[in-house]
Amino acid sequence: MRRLLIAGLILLSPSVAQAEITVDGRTIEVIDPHLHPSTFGRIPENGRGFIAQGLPPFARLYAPALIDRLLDPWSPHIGIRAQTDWGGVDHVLLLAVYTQFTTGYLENAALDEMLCAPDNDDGWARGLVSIRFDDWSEDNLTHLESWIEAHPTRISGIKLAHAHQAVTFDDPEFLGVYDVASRQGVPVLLHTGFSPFPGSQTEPEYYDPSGLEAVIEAYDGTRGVDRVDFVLSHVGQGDARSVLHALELAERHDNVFLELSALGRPLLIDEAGELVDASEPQYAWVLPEVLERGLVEQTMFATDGPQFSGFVRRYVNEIVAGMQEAGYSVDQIEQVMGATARGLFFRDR
Amino acid sequence: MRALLSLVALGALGCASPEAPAGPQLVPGERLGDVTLDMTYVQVVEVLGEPTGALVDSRIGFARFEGDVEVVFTSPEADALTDDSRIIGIGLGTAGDYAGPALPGATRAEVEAALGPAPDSIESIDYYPHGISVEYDGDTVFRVAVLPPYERRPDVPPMVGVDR
Repeated sequence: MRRLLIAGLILLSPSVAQAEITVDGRTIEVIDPHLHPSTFGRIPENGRGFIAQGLPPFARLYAPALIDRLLDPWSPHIGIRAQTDWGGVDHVLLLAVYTQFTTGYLENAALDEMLCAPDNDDGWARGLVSIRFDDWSEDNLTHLESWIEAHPTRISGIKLAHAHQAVTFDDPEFLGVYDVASRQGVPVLLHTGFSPFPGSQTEPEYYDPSGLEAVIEAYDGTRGVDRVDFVLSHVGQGDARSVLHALELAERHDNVFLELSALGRPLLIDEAGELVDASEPQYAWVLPEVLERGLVEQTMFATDGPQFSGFVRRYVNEIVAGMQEAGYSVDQIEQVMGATARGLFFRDR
Repeated sequence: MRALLSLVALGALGCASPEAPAGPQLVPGERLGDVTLDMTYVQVVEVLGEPTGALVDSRIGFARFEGDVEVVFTSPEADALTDDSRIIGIGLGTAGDYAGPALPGATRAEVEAALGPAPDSIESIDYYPHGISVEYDGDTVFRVAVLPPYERRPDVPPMVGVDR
C-alpha cells in the first residue's frame, strides 16, 4: 500500500528536468531549507570515512569525484540542483557551516559565491550564513552580521550546529548571535538531536533543545528586543526525550518551528534515556505528534541532503506519504512541504 | 607540504625519464589511454567499444569494458546510461600495456616512489588530489582510478565579512 501511495504522488517524466509534487490532484510547492554544499577537500578524515561507508565498496575508489559532484550545487545530473529538480523541490536554502571537526565545513564567502552563480539567476536558492565558535572573537559576530545586512534577498538567516561545534545551547559566551538575528530580523536554524557522526558531542546539553528555552523566551518579542524565530532542525531526533522537548517547546512558544529532516532513521535512545533497537523511521512517530498537537503551521519539510544520489527525491516521497498516512489534509501537507519555510525564509526584509 | 613533496617526486621522475614510455598512458587527472575525463558515454564507446556490463543506480553508472577498464558516469536517467552521460572516473583492474605512476600489481613502495605518500586515505584506498586513487590489497595495488583533480582545504579560513 505504501509503495502504491508513493508512486501516485510524483509526476516525473524523464524529459522534464523539474518534477512536480501533486497530492490529490493539487500541485504543491516544495521548499527544502536544509541542504549542505561542500567539497571532499573540506571534509575531515573521520568524516570522509563515515561518508564513504555509505558508498558501495566498489564505488569508494571514486569517492573524491562522487562527493565533489554530489555536494556541488551546479554539477550536472547529480549535483544539488539536479537532485532537487529530480525530487520535485522548487526552492532551497544552501547552508554555510563551520563544522570542520565532524561533517566538514563551508565558509560564508564560498556560500555567497555559489548563490551568485548565473545558475541561480532564477532565485532557486537562498542561503544561511554561519559563525565560528572555535577561534572565537567578538569580530565573528560583526562578520556574520555583515553578510546578512548586505544581502537581504539572498541571505535568509543563520545556521548553527551546537553538537557539531562543541558548544552547549546555553553557553553565555555565544549568545550574541541571537542579538544579530534580532537586529536583522532573520530566523536561526539550529541542529538539534543526537548525531551519529564521529566527533559530534553526544551529551544532551549539546543536542537537546530544552537547553535553549531561556533564549527562546528572551527573544519572543515581548521583552525589549525584537523577536527571533528558532527553527529546531531534525526535531531533536535520535533521543525520544529530545524529540518530546522539541515538540513541547513548539507548543509553548510561537517563535519555535520544527524542521523535519533526518527523521528517516530509527530512534536510538528512548524516553528513559536507554539505548533502543528500533527499526521504524522517526517520522512515523513525529508526524502524527505534530498533527495532534496542532503544530502544522510551525512545521516545515527539509532533507539535510544531499547525502547520496536520489536521497532528496526519496525523502520528499516518504514525508508526503507519511503525512497522508497520519491523516494530514492537502492544505496541511502544502503548509509543511513549502508554505512554512516560504513564510520564514523567503519573505522580504 | 605533502603536495609539494608529491610534485617534487613527479618532477624527479620526469627528469629521470625524458622520453615518455611507449604504449597507452595512465595520466592522473586526465586520461587512461585514449579515454579522457571530458568524454561522454557515446565517445567512450567509440574508443572502447560497447561495455561488457553496466550497473546504473540513481544516476550513477559503472560500465565495464574489455581490458578490465571501468568507467564511471553520471547520467540524466535514474537507471540507464545515455549518450550524454559524463565521465567522473576511469578505473583499471589489470595493468596490461598501460604505463603510469601507479598500476595494478605494483607495490606500495613503487607507487609512493612515483607519487609520494598519499595525503588522503579511506580504509585501503589512497587518494591524490592531482587526480588518481589507488586501492591496495595488502601492499600490492589492486585497482587504480583516474579522477578529476580535487582541492585539499583542511584548514578553515578565518571568518571574514562582506568587506573582506
